[in-house]
Amino acid sequence: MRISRIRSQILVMPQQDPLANTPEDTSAARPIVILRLNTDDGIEGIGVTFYGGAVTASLKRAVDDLGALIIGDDPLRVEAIIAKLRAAAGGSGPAGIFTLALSAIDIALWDIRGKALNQPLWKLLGGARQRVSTYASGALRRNLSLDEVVAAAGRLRDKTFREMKTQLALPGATSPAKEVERMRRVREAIGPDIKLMCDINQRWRVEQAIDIGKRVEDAGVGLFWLEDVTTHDDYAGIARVNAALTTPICGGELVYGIVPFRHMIEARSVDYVMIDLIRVGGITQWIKVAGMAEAFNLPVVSHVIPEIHAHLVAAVPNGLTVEYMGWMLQLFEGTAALEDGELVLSDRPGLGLAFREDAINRFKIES
Amino acid sequence: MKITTIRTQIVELPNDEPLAGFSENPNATNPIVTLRVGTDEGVEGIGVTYFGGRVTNTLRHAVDELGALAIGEDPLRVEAVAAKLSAAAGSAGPGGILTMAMSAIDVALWDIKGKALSLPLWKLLGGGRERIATYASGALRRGLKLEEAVTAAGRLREKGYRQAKMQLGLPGITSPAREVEQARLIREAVGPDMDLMCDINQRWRVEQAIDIGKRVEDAGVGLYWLEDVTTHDDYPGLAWVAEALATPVAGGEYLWGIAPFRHMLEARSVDIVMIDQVRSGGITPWLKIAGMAEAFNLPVVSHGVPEIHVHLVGAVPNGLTVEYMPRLFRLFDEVPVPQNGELAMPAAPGLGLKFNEDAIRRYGVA
Repeated sequence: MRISRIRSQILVMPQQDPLANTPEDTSAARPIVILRLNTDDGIEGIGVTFYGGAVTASLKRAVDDLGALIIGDDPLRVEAIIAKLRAAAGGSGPAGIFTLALSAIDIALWDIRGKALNQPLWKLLGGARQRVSTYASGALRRNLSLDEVVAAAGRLRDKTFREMKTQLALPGATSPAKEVERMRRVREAIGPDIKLMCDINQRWRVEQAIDIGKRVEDAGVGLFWLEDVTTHDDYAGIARVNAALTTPICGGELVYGIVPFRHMIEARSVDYVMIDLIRVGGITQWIKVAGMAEAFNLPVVSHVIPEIHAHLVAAVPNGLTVEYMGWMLQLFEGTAALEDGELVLSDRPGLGLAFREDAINRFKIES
Repeated sequence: MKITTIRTQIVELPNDEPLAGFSENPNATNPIVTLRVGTDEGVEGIGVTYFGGRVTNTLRHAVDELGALAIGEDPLRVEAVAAKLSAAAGSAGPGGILTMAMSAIDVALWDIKGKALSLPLWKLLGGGRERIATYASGALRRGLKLEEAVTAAGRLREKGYRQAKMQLGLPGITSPAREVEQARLIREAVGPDMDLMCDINQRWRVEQAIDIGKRVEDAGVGLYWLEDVTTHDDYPGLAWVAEALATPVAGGEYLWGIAPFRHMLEARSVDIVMIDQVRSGGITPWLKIAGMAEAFNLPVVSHGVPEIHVHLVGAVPNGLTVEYMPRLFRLFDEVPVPQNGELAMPAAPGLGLKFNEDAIRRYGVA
């Protein structure tokens, strides 16, 4: 089998909140690059990449440049292709746009592999379970008013989500007391049985994270995890927060490639390892980080793109829960079904996904 | 003052070796992205970025997209421009092509600042000294035959260089004995008084680095430093080598931005901190790393592009020596030339560099 064609396209997806229908910013949009990789025997693999922001056209260009180099290669030899692309791109990696572009290709290669072997990826990659926990994300953001966030939390509960994530480090004038009060009110709205996560998105300093984290503990909020409590690569600082709090600390979404995960895990920075498929370099590297986390007795969780991550978290023994983030739900047919707060994987081969052509026509931009 | 125009171009410079005359791969070319940033007051700043390999088109595209966002901004507010570009595209980094593209812009903004203030950059940035040591690099590469490398080493000595860098981690079939022999013969060719550095370019494992490093020490080669002895981000592995050898260990050229340098320094991985102005993100982060190294009592050295780095290593108190790597020389009208193994600080404002328009026409590809 040979790779015969590569096509990429930029789409600008509206930043909606399909889960609780309370978007933070209705005018915001998120640019993504989609990829289709075809083989000479008629299989098409799909991939996506994003985080390009204002340089998304450059990201697309990188996908195109790298994709052109693998025409004629055997798509099942994923590691050989990765080695070839790393060598060709020279010093422009590891990390950054090169890695983001490589991820799209890696994902498409795995989709091809699953289709060629007629196996769904979750099974091909380990098959630990076919149903996997998931949590509602992106609905309870820090820019919503307190009333909005409380109402949205109630809607998520009514939709039978058993796990959901909110955010602290509030914008504007805030205080430890305001931060704690918000958490208390959200917990009140959803009741005691729902797992509640809280994301700081690197906005606290180490000592703030310890102070507010302890106050939230003392208020009896009962967080399932506290995420990205401070600068993502301050491994020692995160470890200090981790040692000071009983609340589990989660992190890793901002880390590129597999080596920084080693640094983070060796520093005992986190209790839960969050792996982002796009920044880590694709499915091949995601699975390696999950295995390393397993050796440290740590569970792994995913960051955004549940359409793909559901396969990965379900496949590995230490997969804990999938972030259910609605950014791209409109783009795909065949996403895992949400049933009683769990995602149920299908038996369709590969990713089991197809791009919705109506969504592409609606959100595509000239580039 | 406002930024008004951004112009980029890709040039593919020949991979010749002007210092000692033996190119490892004379048919190869090095793709470079050039940048010119214009202002409403007529001051033009220039910058370069590279390491793009086969995705150099993407790198150029990133410079263009980021540059478009900088139009209308005050070029003297370097940190504000960097914050704006990071906010617009930050999730495509840190690291990689975003950082390499931002580096070109940062360099051009510093060039503008120096010209606007009529000061050469080395003086604007600290003015540590008027002359700085420099070492011949790229002339004694591992791809040369042993006789070529020895001949080239002798030529460097005849040209008055006081410091030169060779490479080990030889290609093909090698052995600790062959590695040591190569180092011994090159030391013989340059004589006892020259500072001799040796670059491994991450090709050894930790235990190999300690084994061969000790053998080179025992053979009396006397290395000034041993560089990138193993995988660049294996900070504890590097620290292990640094601990085991008396030879100073140098590293840092592969690191993106400032935070990984903190990790490397905290792990005591290196004795000499090498900072690359493209991968670190430009002149602004380069200086921050140099300051951090000073707080760790460590000297800093540069990687590549001596035309720009001469200002930086010359400016800071812990600047040790400038890598004299001629890869970009054709790109500029005039470049700093060593005298008695030292570079004099440029006198012209800013970078003191002008693109050679003939070279850009000749080697421009896009």
